[in-house]
Amino acid sequence: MIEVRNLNKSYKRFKLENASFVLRPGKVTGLIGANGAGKSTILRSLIGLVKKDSGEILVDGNKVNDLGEKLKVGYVCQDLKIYAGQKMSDVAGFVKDIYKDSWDNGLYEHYLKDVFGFDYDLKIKELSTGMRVKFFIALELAKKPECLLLDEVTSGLDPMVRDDVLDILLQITRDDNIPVFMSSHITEDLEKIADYIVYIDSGHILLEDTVENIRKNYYKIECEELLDLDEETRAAITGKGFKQHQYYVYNAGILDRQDKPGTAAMLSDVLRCLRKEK
Amino acid sequence: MISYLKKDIRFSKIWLGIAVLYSLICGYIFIKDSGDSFFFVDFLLPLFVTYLPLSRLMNMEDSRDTRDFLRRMPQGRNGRVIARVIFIFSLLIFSFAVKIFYKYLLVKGYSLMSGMNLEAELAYFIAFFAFNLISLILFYRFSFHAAQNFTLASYAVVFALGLLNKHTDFTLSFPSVNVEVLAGCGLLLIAALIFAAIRMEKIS
Repeated sequence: MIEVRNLNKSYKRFKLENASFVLRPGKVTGLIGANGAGKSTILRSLIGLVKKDSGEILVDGNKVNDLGEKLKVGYVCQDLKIYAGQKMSDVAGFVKDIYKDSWDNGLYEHYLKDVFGFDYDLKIKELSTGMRVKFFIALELAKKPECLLLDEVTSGLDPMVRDDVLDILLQITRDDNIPVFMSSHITEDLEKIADYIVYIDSGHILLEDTVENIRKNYYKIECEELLDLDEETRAAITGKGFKQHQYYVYNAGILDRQDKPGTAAMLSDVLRCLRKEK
Repeated sequence: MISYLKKDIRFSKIWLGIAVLYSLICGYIFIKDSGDSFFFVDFLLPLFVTYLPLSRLMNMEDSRDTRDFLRRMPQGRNGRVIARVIFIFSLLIFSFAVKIFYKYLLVKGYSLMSGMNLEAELAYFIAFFAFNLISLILFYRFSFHAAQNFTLASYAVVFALGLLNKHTDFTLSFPSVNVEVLAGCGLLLIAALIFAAIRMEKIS
C-alpha cells in the first residue's frame, strides 16, 4: 500500500497544499481535476521528477523520497515524444538493456503484437498519439511494474482506443494486484475503471473516496420531477442543490427523508457540485 | 553505464557512419593536396567525428519527455554522464588516430613532416575534449540550443583568428611547455569539466 501524507510543492503561480491519499494494491485510483489543478505535480512528485517541498510518501509503512526507491514504477504520460526519431525496436532495446533483470520480452511482444496489434517497426514520430500511448504502455508493462502511474494517457485518444486501453489497464490491475494511479480530466474514463477517486482543485484535494460512496451521496433529479415533490423537499433541493442543464444535483445530506428523490448522480456532476460547494 | 553507451552508439549509428565516411574523404583530400589542407585534418576532422554524433544525441534528448524518461531509469545520473564522456573520448581517440595516420604516416612519404609534434597534438586533443564537454554542460544545464550557440561562437572565434593570422601580422603564440605539464593541466581541466557536467545534469 502506498500512502501520501501532506505533500506540498510551491511554484510561482501554483501551490499544492497538504495532498494526502492512499493507493491500494489491485485497485485503480483516479486523480481528477481541471487543467492546472496539480495532477501532474502530484504524479511527478511521486516518482521524484519534481522535488517535493515537504510531505511523506510511505510504501508499506516505510518512508521513501520517491516510489522508485522501493518499487518498480511504470509511468506513462500523454503525448510522449521520447526519442522521436528512433525506431520502436531501438527504444525497446535500450529499455530492455537497462531493465534486464525485470524485463519480460515475451510480455512485451504479447502486449505489442497480440494486444495492441503492432506488426511493424516504425519510428516513434511516425506513430499516432494512440499508437504512441500503446507502445509506451507495452514498454512499461514489460518491466513488470509494481505500481503504475498514468498521467492523462487517455486524453487525445479516440473513444474506441480509449476503451481498449482502459480495459487493458483494468485487467492488469486485477491480475497483477498492483496499485494504479491514473490522472485524467475525463470523468467518464475514471467512472469506467476507477475504484477510488481523488479530486483535486487548485492544488487542494477536495475529496478522496470510493466511486460507489461518492455516487451514493449525490443524487440528480430532473427539473420536471421536482414538480411532483412536496414544497419543503423542492425548496431544499433548489436552494442547496446545483442546477446542471435540465436537472439538479444535490447532496443526500440536505434531505432528512430516507428515500431520496431522483437517481444516483454521475461522477462528473458530483465533481462539478463539489467545485461549486467549495 | 554500458547500457547508456550502447544506447548512444545505437541511436547515433547513422551519424557515426557519416563521421567515418567524412574521415575517409578528408584523408583523400589531404593526400590529393599533398598535405596542404591542414584545416581539414586538424580542425574539421576531430570536429565532425565528435560533434556530429554528439549534437545529434543532444538534439534527440532535448525534450522534457526524454529527459524525464532518462531520469526515471534505475541506473544513476553519474553513469549516464560518464557514458557520454566515454562516447566523446572514444570518438576523439578515433579521429586523432585517423588524423595522425594521415598527417604523420601517410604524408610523411611525401616528406612534408618528419616526427610528430606531440605537444601540439595533445593541446588539440585537450581543446577538442574541453569543447565537447562544455557543449555537454550547456546542454545539461540549459538546452541543446545553448550548446549550439556555444558551438557557433567557437566557430566565429576560430574563423576570426584564422582571418587575423592570414591577413595581418597577428600570430598566436603559446608559451612552450613540456608534455607532462600540458598533460597534467589538461587532465585537471577535463576532470573539472566532467565534474561540472555531472553537477549540471543533477541540478537541471
